[in-house]
Amino acid sequence: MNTLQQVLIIARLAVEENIRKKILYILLFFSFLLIAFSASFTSFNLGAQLPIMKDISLSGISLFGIIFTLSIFLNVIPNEIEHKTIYPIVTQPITRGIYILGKYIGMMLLVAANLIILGAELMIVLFIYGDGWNWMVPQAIVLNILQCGILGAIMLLFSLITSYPLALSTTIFLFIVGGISSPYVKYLSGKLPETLINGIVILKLILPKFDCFNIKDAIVHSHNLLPGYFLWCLIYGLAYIAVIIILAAFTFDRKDL
Amino acid sequence: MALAIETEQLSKIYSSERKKIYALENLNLQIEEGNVFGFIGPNGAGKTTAIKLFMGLISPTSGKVSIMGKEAGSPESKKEVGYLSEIAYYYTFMEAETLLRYYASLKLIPRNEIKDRIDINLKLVGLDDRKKQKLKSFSKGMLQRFGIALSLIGNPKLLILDEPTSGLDPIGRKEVKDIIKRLKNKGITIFLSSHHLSEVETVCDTIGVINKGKMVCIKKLADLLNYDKKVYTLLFTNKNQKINSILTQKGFKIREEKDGFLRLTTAQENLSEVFKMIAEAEETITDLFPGYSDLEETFFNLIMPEKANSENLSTKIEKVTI
Repeated sequence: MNTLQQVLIIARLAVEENIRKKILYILLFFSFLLIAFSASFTSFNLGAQLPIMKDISLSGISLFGIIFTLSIFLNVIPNEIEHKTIYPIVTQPITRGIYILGKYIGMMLLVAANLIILGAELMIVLFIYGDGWNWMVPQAIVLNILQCGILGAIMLLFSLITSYPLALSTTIFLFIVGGISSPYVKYLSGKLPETLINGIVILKLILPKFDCFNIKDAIVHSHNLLPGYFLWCLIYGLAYIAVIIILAAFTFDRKDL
Repeated sequence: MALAIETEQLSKIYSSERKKIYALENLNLQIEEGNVFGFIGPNGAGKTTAIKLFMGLISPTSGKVSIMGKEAGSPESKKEVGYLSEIAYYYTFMEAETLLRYYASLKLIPRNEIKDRIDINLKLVGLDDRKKQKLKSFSKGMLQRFGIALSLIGNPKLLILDEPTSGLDPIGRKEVKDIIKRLKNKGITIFLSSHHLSEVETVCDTIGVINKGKMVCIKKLADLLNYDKKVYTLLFTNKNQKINSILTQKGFKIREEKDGFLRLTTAQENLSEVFKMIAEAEETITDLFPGYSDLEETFFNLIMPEKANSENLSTKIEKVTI
């Protein structure tokens, strides 16, 4: 109970600290505009307009989530160490693991809150344009949050062990490789050297399957998800996040401050 | 009496590609509860490294350290310790009271006690009228006092202060020094690392001198001032204004006191010569005692005996070995 209280306090501090970042509002503002005016990007008739609106808006939300996650996770802990604002916190009766978990939860709360705002906006826009209440949008948002959760956890872990340009480039590389779908790997197999393809296949076994969190196509083409798919993604994403956060806590525990 | 801090062969070595840097080497320290311990040494001596090890901010290369009988850096040990770092950085966008509330909650202080604790500690450091003010509007001295209030929020049994007056002007230094005195009177164990020897001298019972990562000596203040039995300090009048130049010509270093008296620290074998010169100049010796007259003098002779001999305070003394 005490541990949970301490985690939540650090999460609140992380929210208060990061909510003041201007990039949050700039990205949110442009994503908001993108969704609100997605209809005006197309001159097709209403039947073709809705899929394009969904495509543009969901891609915009996903991109917003990725950029925002990377920007806030990039150097949050290295910055705290550099500015020594970490000292008054870690010298309180908490473990380093509590600090990492609290920070992570706080920043993810911000990411989640923003994605939920954008998701709600998209639902309203789609309703206005006659799609009714599209209940797949909330599922897409939850999966988007999970995707950002994994990305943020990886970024957090790398920011503890390397410099931030390297942490950023490694995370983006892992995100791109992890996001390549299996059919696409098959498609590439005839066009790229075999060693490279084998490397991608091996990496894909270890890396998170970012492509599974993308249900945009199903929403755009009004297809239903396979039964249990959403739940499987939920469990998979949370388990992946838990493993990386444990690794990050373990790494941070041995770090000299 | 129980030990507040105990270290055993504590070492911290930083390794780079070419060489090893011994930031702290085989530190053996036992500080009893209720003691006010002054930790002095030149820049880079290893003071902050030792404190970081006490707080679990860095891990030792070898050796052991326990705080209040618990493993250093563990939540159990940190519960009983208040810590003020050398340069205190806080979330300056927050109000003093709000930030203290967060830290009090992290200390798991019962919710109904938090407000009182905040009020008491802000009053103790003279910031009770500023609790609704954001930290970015605080001066350096106020931030340092806020840091002390923060370190006291959990009613610690041990207070570790790393250069609490660093970068403060004389007024700020006096304010912080007065707070430390008040805390001492409350019976809190204090570990005070400082460059300002006068402040250590006025508040500490025991002094530890560290240099180049090694502990040079640990003694009670009175014993430390008197550690060199072959050295004497004497105070004498300066009515005729001649004695100063006479002694200076002979190679003695004289210090002028505020009240017009002169002070000289010298080796025992020079005493008869000095007495003779003072008598011939028709001056009077008002005080004579063994050892050095203040911590600054002692410190220089311990850390840099060569420098102390050539340009500082003592004269013609033999090199001190502890």
